[in-house]
Amino acid sequence: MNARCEEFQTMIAAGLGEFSEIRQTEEIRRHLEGCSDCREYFRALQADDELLAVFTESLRPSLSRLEARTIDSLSGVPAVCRGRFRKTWARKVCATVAVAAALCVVATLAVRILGLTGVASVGLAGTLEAMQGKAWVHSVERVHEIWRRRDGRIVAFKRPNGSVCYTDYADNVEYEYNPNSRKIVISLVAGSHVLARDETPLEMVANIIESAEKAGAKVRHLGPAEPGTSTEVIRLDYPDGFHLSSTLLTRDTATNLLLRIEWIRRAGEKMTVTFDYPDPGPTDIYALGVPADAIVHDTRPTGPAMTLVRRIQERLDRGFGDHQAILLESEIENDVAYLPMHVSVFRQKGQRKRWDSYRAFNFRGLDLPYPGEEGRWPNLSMPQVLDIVASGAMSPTYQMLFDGSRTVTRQMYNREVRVREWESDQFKAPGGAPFTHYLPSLTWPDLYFEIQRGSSVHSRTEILELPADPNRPGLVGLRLVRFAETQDYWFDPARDHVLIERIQIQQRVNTRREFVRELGQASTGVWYPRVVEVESTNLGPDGVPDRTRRWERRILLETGTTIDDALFDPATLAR
Amino acid sequence: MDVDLEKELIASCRRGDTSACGDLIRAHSGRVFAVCFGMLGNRHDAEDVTQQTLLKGFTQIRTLRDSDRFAPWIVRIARNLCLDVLRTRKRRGTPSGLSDLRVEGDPEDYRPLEQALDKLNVDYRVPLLLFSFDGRSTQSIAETLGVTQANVQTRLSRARKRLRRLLEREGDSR
Repeated sequence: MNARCEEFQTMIAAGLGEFSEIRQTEEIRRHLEGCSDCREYFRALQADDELLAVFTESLRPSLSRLEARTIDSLSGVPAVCRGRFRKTWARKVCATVAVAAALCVVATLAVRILGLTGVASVGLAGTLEAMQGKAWVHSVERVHEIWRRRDGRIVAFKRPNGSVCYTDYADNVEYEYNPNSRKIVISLVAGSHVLARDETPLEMVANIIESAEKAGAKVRHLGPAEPGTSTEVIRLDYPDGFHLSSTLLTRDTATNLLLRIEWIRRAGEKMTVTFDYPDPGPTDIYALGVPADAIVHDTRPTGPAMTLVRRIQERLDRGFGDHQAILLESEIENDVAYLPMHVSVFRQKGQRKRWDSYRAFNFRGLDLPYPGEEGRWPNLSMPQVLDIVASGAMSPTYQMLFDGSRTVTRQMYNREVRVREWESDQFKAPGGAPFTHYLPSLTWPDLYFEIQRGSSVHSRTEILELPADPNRPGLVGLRLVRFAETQDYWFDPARDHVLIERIQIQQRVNTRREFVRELGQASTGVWYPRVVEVESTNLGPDGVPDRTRRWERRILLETGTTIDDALFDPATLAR
Repeated sequence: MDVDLEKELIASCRRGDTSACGDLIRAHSGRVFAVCFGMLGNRHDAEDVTQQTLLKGFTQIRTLRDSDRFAPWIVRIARNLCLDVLRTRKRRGTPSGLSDLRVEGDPEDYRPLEQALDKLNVDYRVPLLLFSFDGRSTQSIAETLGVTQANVQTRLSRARKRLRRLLEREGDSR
């Protein structure tokens, strides 16, 4: 690297000032082609940009909860459903409880928990089994009461002042009762949000056991909690250096059910959760003390547009079935140059899914047997792309795999590999994983999620049917309107309701248009977007277009193919 | 947000319409949070101060003189509250950075990035986070911070270069 490179690197960083667009002047481009150091620097800056964007997105859910808490505080309504721990210390205690989840995620609970060696030593195997047999668990954490159905379908919260939230994820509906206004607000909730739920009691116990094992905690059985009661207290004492000093678990020796958990931090702070197991659990919000004469305010969108919404949602849920697909993404510069950005390989077999993403910025530097037009992907077939991937010419930057019970992700960043696990199908979590690419969701948008996003007691998403447009013959359209944002969707009912065009306008921020340039049809007859173009324009504060970025997605799809089961084994992710 | 719409919402807020306040909160919370996070270097403190800012702003919205200047006004409240927190920290000698105040249980995925952001000068960190949180427009950042657009572009460019160096060091120290 020389002084000239230093100058170019400053130019590159300055050009990336507007992060979303890469201004490659001819001079920079020529220099980049001939200078591996600067090329590496350029890619590193792009990777930083991606990381910052993902990091920002990861903070959005807590920001949304904060907004809801603030709005509720302003209207004098406690934020029962949206953020239960305002005080920092309480949040820290809560975070402590969740530490085990961050350290070690429990996989198939029913099988794995019972198989843990530590369970026997802690003496909770029977307790976990007994808890699994209960349809409902009711827990009390400080002043918050929570009811959870074992299958995760229903979760309800209640506070002492009488405010109640009852969510049925399977029916996509949430009921929220405000005792001040004596009003029940009903809203649509995306089923995928069940993935973002709190830790269940069973997971709590399993995580306690796993972290106790890892920390080398001492287990002591202390006898009954109160003299003469059929209870037993199990005390876990952690070695110095562990964030907790002890955890006390109390169980009913007659029923074998867990009654109480108490965490004690080194600083002496305590947090206690108590449990009981109602049978039956609350069947609706009224079973939790909400008066029968409460005013009901249903904010769920209605009207003919909802018929189309439900149809698209059903189509998304059905997806493509077993399939293998390739996504080639290129940035379009000055209408002519196509700069390869990413290659993704998707695979689905039954419920199992896998996504491998490769960075393709160095594509043109690769010695490939498939020459194409300068600056863009050649017309590759699926075997050719898989050949390139298998050759190891590009290393995976992100991998995500759902093996039927847990999701494992592997991310390569800054010479470091990060692996994370979830006990759920994260491919279905559009809000939690902003950069997840899942072919069905590129073909049919998750409209329930879109409706829920940005909706609240105070603001709802409106859905309108769009009139037939002679410029879009045969297409059906709907419009989502929410505060400062509209989204128009156009679908092709004659071709599996594939999304043909989407126009998103965020007032004074951004406009984005995605449109299908070419449709494809897989061997099983299913339609899919073969070539999609995306155009995103940032707007200045005065609403005038500022910068535009364009890119292209090319999709290769095979349905009904036989996919090797071994590919869904987390052990096959790159090391 | 459309200027006329914002003025209308502010007028409604002044009349006590919480729904309008909600809309304004959603439109400005990212910007306020970015400023707080940028100044305090700790996202948990930033969340608390963001909430305080929004509550203070909306309970005192009648004191806003020029409804065209809502964004700089709410950001100024945020900055003042952040300065209070920083002064308290200094008095008590408590650590300021997120690397010292990390809450157990936080995801570790972004630790190197957060540590690098923590080491970044506040003059660079604030515009960088604003850029990421608030629509990626340098002109909007300039208006929020009361500086010129050219100044924002320079700060962003330097922020990126320094962040890269810090991330490289993070990578090397592993």
